[in-house]
Amino acid sequence: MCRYLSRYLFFLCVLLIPCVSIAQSATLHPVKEKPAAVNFELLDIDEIQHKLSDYRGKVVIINFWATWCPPCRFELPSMERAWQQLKDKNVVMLAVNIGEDADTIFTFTADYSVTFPLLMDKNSKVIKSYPVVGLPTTYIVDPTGHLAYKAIGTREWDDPKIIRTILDLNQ
Amino acid sequence: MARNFTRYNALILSAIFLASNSSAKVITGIDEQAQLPYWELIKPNLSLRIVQRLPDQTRAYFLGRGFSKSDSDFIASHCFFQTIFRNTSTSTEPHKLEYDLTQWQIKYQKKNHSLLVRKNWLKIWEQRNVQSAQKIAFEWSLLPTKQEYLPEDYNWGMSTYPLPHGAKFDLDIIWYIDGKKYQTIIPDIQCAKDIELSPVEE
Repeated sequence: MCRYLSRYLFFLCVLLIPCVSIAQSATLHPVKEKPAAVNFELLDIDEIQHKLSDYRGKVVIINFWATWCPPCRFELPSMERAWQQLKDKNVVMLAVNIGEDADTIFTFTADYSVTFPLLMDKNSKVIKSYPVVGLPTTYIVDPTGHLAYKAIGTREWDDPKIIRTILDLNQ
Repeated sequence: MARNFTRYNALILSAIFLASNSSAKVITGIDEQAQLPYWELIKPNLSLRIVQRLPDQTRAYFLGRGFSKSDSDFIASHCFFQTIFRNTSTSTEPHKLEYDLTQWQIKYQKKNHSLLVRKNWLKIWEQRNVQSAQKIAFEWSLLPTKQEYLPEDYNWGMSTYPLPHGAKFDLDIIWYIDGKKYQTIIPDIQCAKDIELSPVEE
């Protein structure tokens, strides 16, 4: 019986490995040739202006999203948990909303409470200046202002592997 | 107990056999979130799931994005699917997955049709004088026309088909793994039917 059980467990593990790897999604992809991040100036929903170039010397996480995008919503809680670990470690997190106004985003935050800045790219000019074709897409900008990593789709942002990758950019 | 165990053994082995064989098959069923039919293609390094969207659901979604009633009705007159395209390769054995929706073909009533992609809709919105905010919402709600996924990358987005509600069709899809072309047909996909409420007799 133990032999059968161990066989079941083996097959179950084989079947579950792909599911687990999808669920965790902790891979960031290095950007080839690390092009310079296009500078932008955007208001957040509290009407504070954010200029990317002002954050030179820090690691900047730029997440393109929208309230109506289901995978964008999935990753917001893990982004907030990651932000709590990163905010005092020379890292900036900017969630750039596409096409929506402050009222819509503010209402949305009643259900998805986050403390990092929510910027508004109302006319989609900023997202179109980046190599982005789908939401969510996230870029990690290194302290010299170059695109270091990219992720298309949801990630588990507080996964230790991702946190380590981000913090290593500060060295 | 031994007999039960053997039966159990056979059942589990059958499930494993089906699961391993499913790499070459299209799985259909009811999507657990949408509670609507889906068709899912699972191939090495790729999964593609398309889930029916009800016309009313699509109408309500775009009304919520600020489209007028006539534009929302126009959108809802088309066949929409929620589409989830994923690179299922892993960082330990990475592969690049690419697709281009303009290469895909809809086979309906012995004719080939192209999907409606972002540039097609943009032309429609220009003709209908749709405002910029609505055009932006529509564009980003669609599955990207072309995309390149590395391990664990994926998108959700709507794919749109110039077919009537309830139409059954085959979808001839093309994708590339590390630059190598692959092609298959997902048969018997069905656009959602429109729901017409009729008065209930008491």
